[in-house]
Amino acid sequence: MSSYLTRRLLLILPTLLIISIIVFLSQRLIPGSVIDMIATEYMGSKIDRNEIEDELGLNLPIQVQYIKWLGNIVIHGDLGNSLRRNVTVNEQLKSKIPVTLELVILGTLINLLIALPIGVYSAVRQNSWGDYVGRSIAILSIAVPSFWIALIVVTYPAIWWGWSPPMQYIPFTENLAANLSQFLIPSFIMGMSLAGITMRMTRTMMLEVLRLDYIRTAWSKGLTERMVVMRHALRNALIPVVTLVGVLVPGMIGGAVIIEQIFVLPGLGRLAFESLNNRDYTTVSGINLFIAMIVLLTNLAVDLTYAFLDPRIKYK
Amino acid sequence: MKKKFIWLALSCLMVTTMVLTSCAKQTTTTSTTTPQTTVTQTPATQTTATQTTDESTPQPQYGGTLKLPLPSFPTHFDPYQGAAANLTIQSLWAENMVQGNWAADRSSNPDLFKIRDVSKDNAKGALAESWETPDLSTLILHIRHGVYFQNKSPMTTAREMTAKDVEYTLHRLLGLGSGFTEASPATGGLPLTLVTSVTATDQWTVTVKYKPSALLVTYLANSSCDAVIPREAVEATGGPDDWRNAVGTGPFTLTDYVSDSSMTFVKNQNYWAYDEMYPNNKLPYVDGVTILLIPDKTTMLAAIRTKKIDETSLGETMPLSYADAQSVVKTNPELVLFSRPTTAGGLLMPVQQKPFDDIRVRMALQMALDVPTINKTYYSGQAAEYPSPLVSDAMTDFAVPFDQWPKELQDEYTYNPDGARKLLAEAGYPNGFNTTIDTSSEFDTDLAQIMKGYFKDIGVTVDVNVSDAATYSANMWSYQFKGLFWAYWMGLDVDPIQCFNFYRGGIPWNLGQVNDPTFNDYCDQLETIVDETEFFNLSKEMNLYGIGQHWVVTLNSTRTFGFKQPWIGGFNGEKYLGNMRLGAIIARTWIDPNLK
Repeated sequence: MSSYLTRRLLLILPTLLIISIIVFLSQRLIPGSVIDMIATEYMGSKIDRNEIEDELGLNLPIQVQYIKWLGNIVIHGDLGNSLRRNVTVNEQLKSKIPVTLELVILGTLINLLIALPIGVYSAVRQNSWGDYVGRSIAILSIAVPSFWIALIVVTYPAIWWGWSPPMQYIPFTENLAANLSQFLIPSFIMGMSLAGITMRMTRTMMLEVLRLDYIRTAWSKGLTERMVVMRHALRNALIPVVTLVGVLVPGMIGGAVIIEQIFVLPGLGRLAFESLNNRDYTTVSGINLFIAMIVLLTNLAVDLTYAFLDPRIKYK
Repeated sequence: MKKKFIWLALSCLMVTTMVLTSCAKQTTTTSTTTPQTTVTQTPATQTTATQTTDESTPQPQYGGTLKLPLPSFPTHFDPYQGAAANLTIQSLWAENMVQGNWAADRSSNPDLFKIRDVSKDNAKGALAESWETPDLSTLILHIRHGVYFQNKSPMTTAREMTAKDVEYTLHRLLGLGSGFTEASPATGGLPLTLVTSVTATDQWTVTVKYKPSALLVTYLANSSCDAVIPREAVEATGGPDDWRNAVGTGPFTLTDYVSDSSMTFVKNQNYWAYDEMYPNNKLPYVDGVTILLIPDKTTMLAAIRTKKIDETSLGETMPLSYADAQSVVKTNPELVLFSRPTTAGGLLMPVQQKPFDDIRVRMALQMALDVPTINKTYYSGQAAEYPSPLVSDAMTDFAVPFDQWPKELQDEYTYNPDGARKLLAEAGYPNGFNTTIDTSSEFDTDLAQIMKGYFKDIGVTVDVNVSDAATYSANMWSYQFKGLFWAYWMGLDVDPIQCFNFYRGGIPWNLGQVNDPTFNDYCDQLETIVDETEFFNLSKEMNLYGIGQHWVVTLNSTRTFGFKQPWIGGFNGEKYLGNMRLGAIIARTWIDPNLK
């Protein structure tokens, strides 16, 4: 197992390298450079573009810029300075990551808390009223965009009941209750939007597993329904579900942009959006690299979970 | 079994706790407010900002914390860096030499201080207590005594501001001394570039030498980058761009900054100013200000409805349309509505390039638009009846209202599709031509579609390209557009030179790349005139000339709207007490606890 883990961790490096090249180059292809954005702030005043390029290190050939940037990351762990704010990219990420991580973790937990029980119930009580209701809820959650729900949740309670979600971020280390009160609703919306897919996958896999011979054997032995479903069927059915959750997590980080915007959460998604709008290349690169690393590590964690779920799987 | 019950019970308890916590009422006060009898809730009614001190008028109260929204936070804290987003907030802790006189008579102009109109007549000293102009190229500023920098790091003591601090600030800003040789890029194109030297002649006097100008004091009242910050802040670790070093003489001290979330200010107990309308009242009234980052308009509307913020549309930010305002008035009649004039939007075009180089084509495009009908239908009657190109009608010193234009010129701005087609035919486009309208997602893209429809009637086929704000700005400032493109900020400046610079050859803001020798000569001449009457007379003449050249296809000037809570006093939608002096307005705003 440890050699497998080491191999996988080493394989992350070339993947990250390729991603870094793509991210570094692609944003420079977007119309409008960071110099143009700075010029906009000064209403087109005769700024010395060459001087600003020099100051920001953008006058160097692109490959030199890339090597310098990559070298700083590898040697010093330094993602560089923001091109638009007086702050380093590391500092920005340090303050934003906990917000988005909290949102994603809570969202994932809520996703699983809703999807797994409903999915299992739907499968076990196939074609019952409960199954139909569960499937309808799943379809609804897939069909209705999360940003729409977010806007509805912000708008209508304000009109009908004079209530709106909290709008000032308080870290959980300062006040857990206040922090949770701000995060619960956006996390629920995010989790709910993915619960439909997770529920349907759970239901499908459970139905497949419940038809297998060893389950029939378990029934024949006189085991209770709970034992058959929870002990014997669910673990095998969960393998693709775990894969799915692993795939959904990066999507949640990206999808957090709109949720963070609407619920006023100072997270990574909003920072990425604003940095892209401001053509803050270093910040965007740093964020993308971080998200890529999260995706790769999440996939690794998912793969390792298989060994736990299915004892037949052994990593060498 | 027992284990399972315990597990289940714990899970339920956890979930219940989380749900109850999230649904808990917030500690901000909700109130059954007594509606103030201030204004009617019909957006068409302008609020009058007349302040009286009789018993029927609410009196200022001390205390409370204002909560205000902003869609984006400043990227810098150093006035040297300029830029609107930064300067709006900076005015809370740092101040300028001259600002608007809050007590100026507003009976003839209810929109006073809602646009950039601090002219010499309604300016008063801020950090400069008074001034003299012994000649039209010299300004002597008498620095106010008893003004102290805030007691905040990097200041070791809250020392008194002197002429040396003013000299240092202007030297740094303009590259005129104290070790500074390069001017801030934020000053480019602004009147501060007329300054040739700044000298502190004694502890309380600063002599500023300018190139001769008729609007010397007006420039100072409306400058934005010259907020005085101490040398200690510039030389501190991290520099003045670190929020921890943001120190000035302003009414509030920045005490906390949560990146992209909130900024907290507390009252500067040592602040020097008194309310001009209530001369015995020391400012500021409120104990503190919390600025919340609310980038989304829906969220901002929810916040004002649920009393999480005290006013909307802070400064330049997130103005509400008439439709937005109507929806809020219906659901929350207790909120107090205010409105502000805004500049006309319009389409610029590269006038050096075909087909726009022909004035007949430009005229035809204008005649294709039925501006009064757009006002009645699209703006529900809230906009001006007629277009106001070049200079907004609110600039009363040098704007020329439509009804005072020569008849011939009025006809060129009156809806006449047949006349437009005839002009196009004369210009060599009997079948019209194809072009584009470039606009940004942050502008009103529906208007572009409306104009597309009108242009189609005269044979001009238009593709509307909508790009994101960043791409649009980048393309605009690098003159990439080959067709028509949207612009909206023109003509709303108290200085005619700033308005006309949009059409003056060689100026970066001249996005339409106009290069009219007659107009350029006018601009050069205007800069040399030192007599104020003559200055504004020539400005009017230039205005009419420019209108006749049709460099911009113009729509109506409109109004934008905002709301405040009924307990907010002293504020009626003002946003300029001089350029970007929001802090001064907030200092004169109070909270009535009886209404909260």
